[in-house]
Amino acid sequence: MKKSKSFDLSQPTRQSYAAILIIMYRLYRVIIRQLLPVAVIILLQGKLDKSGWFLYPIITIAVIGAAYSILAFFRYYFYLEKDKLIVKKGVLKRSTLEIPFDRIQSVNFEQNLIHRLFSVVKLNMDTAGSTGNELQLYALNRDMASQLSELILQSINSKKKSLDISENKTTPVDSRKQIFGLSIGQLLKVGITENHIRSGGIIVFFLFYIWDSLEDFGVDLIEKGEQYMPVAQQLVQSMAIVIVLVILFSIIAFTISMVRTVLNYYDLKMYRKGHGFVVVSGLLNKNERAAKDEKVQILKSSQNLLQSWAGIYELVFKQASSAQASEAKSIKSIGLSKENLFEAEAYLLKKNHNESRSLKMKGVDFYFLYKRLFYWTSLMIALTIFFVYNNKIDTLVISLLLYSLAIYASYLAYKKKRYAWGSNIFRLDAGVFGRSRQVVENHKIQNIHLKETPFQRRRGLSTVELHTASGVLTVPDIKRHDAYSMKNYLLYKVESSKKKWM
Amino acid sequence: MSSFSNEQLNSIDLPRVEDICFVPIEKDYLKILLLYISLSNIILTVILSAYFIFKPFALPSTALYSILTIASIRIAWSFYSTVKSFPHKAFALREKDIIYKSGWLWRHMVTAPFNRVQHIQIDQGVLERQFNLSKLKIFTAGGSSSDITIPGLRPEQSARLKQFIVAKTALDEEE
Repeated sequence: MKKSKSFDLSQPTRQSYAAILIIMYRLYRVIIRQLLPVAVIILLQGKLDKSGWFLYPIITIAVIGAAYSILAFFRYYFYLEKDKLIVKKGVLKRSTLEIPFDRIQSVNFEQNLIHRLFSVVKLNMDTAGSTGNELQLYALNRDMASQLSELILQSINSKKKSLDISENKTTPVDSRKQIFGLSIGQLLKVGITENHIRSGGIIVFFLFYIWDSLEDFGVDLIEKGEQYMPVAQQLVQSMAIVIVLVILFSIIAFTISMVRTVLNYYDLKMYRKGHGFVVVSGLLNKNERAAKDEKVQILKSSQNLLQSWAGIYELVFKQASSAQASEAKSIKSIGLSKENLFEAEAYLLKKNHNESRSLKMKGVDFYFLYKRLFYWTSLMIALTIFFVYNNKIDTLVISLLLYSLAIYASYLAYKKKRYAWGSNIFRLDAGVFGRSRQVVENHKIQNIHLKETPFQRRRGLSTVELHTASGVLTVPDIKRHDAYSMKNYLLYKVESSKKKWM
Repeated sequence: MSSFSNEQLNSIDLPRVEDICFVPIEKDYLKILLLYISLSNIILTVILSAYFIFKPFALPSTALYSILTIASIRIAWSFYSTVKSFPHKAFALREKDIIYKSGWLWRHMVTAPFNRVQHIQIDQGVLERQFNLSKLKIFTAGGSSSDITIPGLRPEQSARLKQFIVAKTALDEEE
């Protein structure tokens, strides 16, 4: 990194001029999103004549939007005062925001295409308030941004330093050590092993969205569709068309996963920086996310079926947040090898990381499986009666196949649900076709719930929920005796621990 | 590895949650609960009787009978289960944590260590003011689903509990 020139941030400062473009872009995006369904309707109904009347409102909106963006830019100042960041903004309503540095949880950089063109960055600051309390500086000169974030982080650290000076000396804040980098080959591997069913879900969701928007504007698809129904029925009955459709759907789903993977995870790098982790990735939007060790509550590693064949893992650092574990507060890294995983875990859990592997895992009670078998079987019996009654044997065969799949999945879920607690660590494994593992340090548990349904009570079973600041770990259907001794032990650990959970 | 200390504990010596003597909440709170349930049942009854008086649309008699049966079972059950589950609402204060349990068929017990408590709040609704009762809410960072609400406490009892827990939390922070 080149030596940055220093800025006087105590004076009211504007963002980089590129911010005008970015504000404009955001504004237009919102407007276009709102008007898109109307535009689709107008186009579909072919009501556009050649006079071009529709251009005038569009131009008016565009001009007002541009004027608004410029005003918003010139009225947006920020400066530092002692250990506070002050932001003055507002076009019609002026407002002043004061953010004390110690409220700032993390500072993240982000770059999309516009940012890259002007070599500026967007600064996201998460504050300890509820969601929506984040502060964003849309476009800042790169050097200014790093100076600002450095100042904020220094001020936070200097307060903490008074508590533990010795620890900070060993790792200077600036040193960055790369734990993991995703090469192009690995990126392809990640893309191929993505959850394609989820991508398929996106297509279905998108179709539903369009359908819904069209119906809002009075285009009755069902009515129109019924005109074509007889033709469609003939087509669907020929198996070839169905197969072609399925293949087409799979190809689209696969392409979507590939594109998403490349966009999100291109050039992914995971660093160890100071007492935390930094993950940088993205093709068009370059995201930089940081998680400090003490903010990370749960470490989750997982593999879906394809990933386990390819031998790669996904790693998620779940960070504490006031509004429960939202996606934004989780930092994900993907395509890791087992060694990368070990290394990250060793950094985070320090001397306890060996414990997470040497724990003796216990399975849950058979009732966990019995419950699922019961649900699926009663559903299947009901379906069988219905299909036989209606003489639909072919549908019955398909549902029987699905039923056996469900039974197999339930069995796998039962086999893979395992838990263990040690003197410093709690671990929960789960999975159906894939597998996942969550590790939480005992002192990061916030409170413990114990639940019993009447059916569990008859079998002497309980469900234990460990609530942390970034989600719940549920251990279902274990012997009441085990549940109590786990609860007693973990409570003892939390209550006797002097370690800060955050 | 050798620097790693792992204190061996005999799990029998650990403080046991199951041996605790729980304090039941005030009986008056049952009246409030029953009042709330009566209110919701009255709404249901009004809707049903409105149908029989005005008959805005026709329903087959089988559907009518089943709706009536379900409604009356629902009303009876809501009273019965409230009364049955009331004695199960109880709390216990220990040296280092607070426990609240509830539920008759579906049992639930939460334990919140004092050194994880974020803040405490005392609530008093309109009905509760009439019966001189209050609710104690204990918030931890474990998310909204894990906050503890202890209903049916006398206001001075809530205040004392709050003071006690706040003092414990402050003590923990000093260390």
